[in-house]
Amino acid sequence: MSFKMAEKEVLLLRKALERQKKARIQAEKILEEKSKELYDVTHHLKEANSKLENLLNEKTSELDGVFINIIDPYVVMDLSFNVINMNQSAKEFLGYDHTIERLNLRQLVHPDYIQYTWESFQSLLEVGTLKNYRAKIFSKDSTEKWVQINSSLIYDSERKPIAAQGIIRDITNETEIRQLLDEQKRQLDIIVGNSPLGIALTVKGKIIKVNPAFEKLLGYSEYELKQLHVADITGPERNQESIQLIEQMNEGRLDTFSIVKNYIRKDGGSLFAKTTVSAVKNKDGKVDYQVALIEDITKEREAEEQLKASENRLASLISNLQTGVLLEDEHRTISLTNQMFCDLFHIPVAPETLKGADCSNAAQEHMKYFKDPTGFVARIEEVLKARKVVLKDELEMVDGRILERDYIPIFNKGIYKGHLWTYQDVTLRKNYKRNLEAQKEKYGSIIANMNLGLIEVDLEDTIQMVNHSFCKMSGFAENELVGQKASEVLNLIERDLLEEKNKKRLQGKSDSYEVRVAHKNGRMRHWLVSGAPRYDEAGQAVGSIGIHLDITEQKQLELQKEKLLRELEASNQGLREYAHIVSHDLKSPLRSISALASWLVEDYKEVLDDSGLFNLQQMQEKVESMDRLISGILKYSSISQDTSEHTQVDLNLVVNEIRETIFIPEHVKVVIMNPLPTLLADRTKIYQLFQNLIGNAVVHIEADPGLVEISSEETKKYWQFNIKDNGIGIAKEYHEKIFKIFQSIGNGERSTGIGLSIVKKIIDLHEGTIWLDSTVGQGTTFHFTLKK
Amino acid sequence: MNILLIEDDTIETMKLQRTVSKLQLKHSIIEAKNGEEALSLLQAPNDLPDIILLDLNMPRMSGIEFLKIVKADEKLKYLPTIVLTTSENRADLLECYKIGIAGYIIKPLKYEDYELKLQTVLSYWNINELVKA
Repeated sequence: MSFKMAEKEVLLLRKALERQKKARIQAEKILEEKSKELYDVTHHLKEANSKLENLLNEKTSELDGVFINIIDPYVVMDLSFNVINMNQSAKEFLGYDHTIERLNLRQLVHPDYIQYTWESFQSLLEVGTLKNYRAKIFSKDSTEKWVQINSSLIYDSERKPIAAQGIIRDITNETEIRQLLDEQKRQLDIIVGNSPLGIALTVKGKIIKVNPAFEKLLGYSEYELKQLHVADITGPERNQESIQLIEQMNEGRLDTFSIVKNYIRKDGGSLFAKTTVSAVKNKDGKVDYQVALIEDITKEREAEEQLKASENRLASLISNLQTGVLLEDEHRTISLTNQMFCDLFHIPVAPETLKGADCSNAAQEHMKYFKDPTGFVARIEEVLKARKVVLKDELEMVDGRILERDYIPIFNKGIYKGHLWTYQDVTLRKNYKRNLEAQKEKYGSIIANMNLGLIEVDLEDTIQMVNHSFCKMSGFAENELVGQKASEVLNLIERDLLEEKNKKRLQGKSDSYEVRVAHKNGRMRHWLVSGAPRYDEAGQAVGSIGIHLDITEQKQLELQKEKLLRELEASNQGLREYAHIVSHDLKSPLRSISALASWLVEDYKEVLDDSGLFNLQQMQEKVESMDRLISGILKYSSISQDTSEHTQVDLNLVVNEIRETIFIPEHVKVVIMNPLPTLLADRTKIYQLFQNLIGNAVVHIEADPGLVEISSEETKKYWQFNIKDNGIGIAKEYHEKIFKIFQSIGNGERSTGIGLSIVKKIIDLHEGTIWLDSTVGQGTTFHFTLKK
Repeated sequence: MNILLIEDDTIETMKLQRTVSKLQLKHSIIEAKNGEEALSLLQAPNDLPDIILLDLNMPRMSGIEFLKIVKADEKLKYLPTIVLTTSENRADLLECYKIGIAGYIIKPLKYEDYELKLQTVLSYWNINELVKA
């Protein structure tokens, strides 16, 4: 703006002001008049107002009195928190009296609430009222108190706020309760949160809250569950029942119920849970919520099912038991019985139908089956009265059966609940036992009286039992033996042998052996011992048992026999030697005589007459027969039982050889009729045998042509040979005699009477026999057998 | 040949002498009455015989005992020894062959048979090559 412009403007404004001044003076004159009038009115009004004010003050005082007399503490303060007025209750509550001391309320506020108090006060100033101010304050005695204040502003006549009034409510207790409640709620939350029971809150089947255990049990998260209805997680089993219960609860007829039902898990699995549902009602008795507690009893249920199965098994076991079972309760009615029981007592109904039957008269009814009916009844009464376990009561029945009865009373926590009878048919066992006892007695008496010494020892060789004969044999009394070590008390010569045998017993071996033992009187005895291991019921070797026979006399005889045999052998040997020596000693002079006689004939042929020559000739012949005799005796005595030289002997070859060796007159033929066998034998003896028989045959044949036929036949055990000739025959009376030594029946000069004796001896050695058929003048057949 | 005859029986000795002279055989016979005598002859520095004729049954030292000693001797064991005996005992025969003999002649009963046998034996040994000392 230019300065010129401004100057012009100021000029204009000054002129206007002048005009105004003139106008105001004029107006002031008017106003003065009017003010005079107004003053009068105002004065008048002032008077009237003063009257009204007094009235108001009076009313206010009255009101003050009302406030002062109200029960709750009432305080009026200025806007700087200084108390202007307070009632008696406030004085008591705060502990201050504003009439006595200055009181500023701000100083009472707990430091934590100063900010809140400031904010609340600003709100009061703006709005004019303040509701539900809550803060912690200190009263004069420094106690903390919770207060709730409702306050309003007080205005002066110009509507300016000049003070605030408030009613204080002591909420200290209330707050503490609330805090306690909060704490309790927290604790409850912890409990609910950690509870192993699933807990769910439902409203009309809708799930609104669950605890972690519930989530875990069902496999759903809480969020998922909240989308679900109880029906969604309920399995089919007992669902209907649970729905009905819920309905009853909704209708207010049921406050709580428990049910075992199954739930379907998120994964499709099923679980059995004991569910307790309680209704939470509101003040009006309407159901607000339902609280469900769920306890997983799947395992318990399985266990229960197993228990049931095992009960079933037990029941089937009992019904098939070979023991009659009768279970009666305390009122003597039948709880359980089985088929065997019915069978034993000829009860013609199924055991199940007997359940509940009264047994008080059963004994009377069935007494007829027992040999001692009155005794049977009396015993039952006695047993029932005593209520003590009775085992193995033996009952004899009329039909010969024997039963064994057990009585077992049943007590539950000391209270008699019934009893169990069991009956077992022990007829077989009893009879067996009786038989066994009879047998035992029989054998016992045999053992006691037998002439064999019996001893039983355990594994340590300690004598357990001896019989009378053993005592007699050993010379010890029974009490000197039993309990002692057999090897120590009995004076065995072959001690080592015994130990070896005992070891064998442990291995379960039985055998017989001979021992030498010194009798108590010191005399040596021979025992034949038959030992066997002893076993217990379990088949475990527990020792051995020995049966002893005193064989001293037999043994001595045996020893004597052995000695005799040895002597005989020696003497036989000596005899054989002797035979050779004798034969040599006899043969040598014969040879000398023969030589000398020959020389006489040679040297003195011319000197000797016919008679002298004849005598010398006779002498030679006698010497020859003497020589044959000696050879025969030697051969006979040389035949022994020695089998060491047995070889395969082909009889065809033997006979051929004999044909070539011996003298066979021209007119005689020796024929083998059938091929002869080959024998295992001493060739020399067999040769001798055939040679003697063939030789005998050929020399005694006068008929022409002479024929000797050799044949053989086989029997089971023997070879039989037949040597047939058409010779002079042998008279019946000689048939036996011819086999005896030196019994010659021939009149021939060459017969010594030894040949057939040798034959007989050889056949005897081969366990054969020889006999003959002969007709004098027609021929002889010798038959003989040789054992194979 | 030089023949050592060991024989206790005089007649037996005569039989051999008679046989040798009768058949006009050129053999000289040395006689010993028993085993001991024979051994002392054999141990003497004289020439050894070509063959020995030995009887078994002799008093004191038997023929078999003598035979054992001879056959155990390094020098004498080469001498052919022929047993001349009446013993038909098989045990004797086996024993003799076992120890070592050059023949086993059973003395026959008849002198003629004896002559025959001895002639055979002596002519047999006569044609043999003999161990000369």
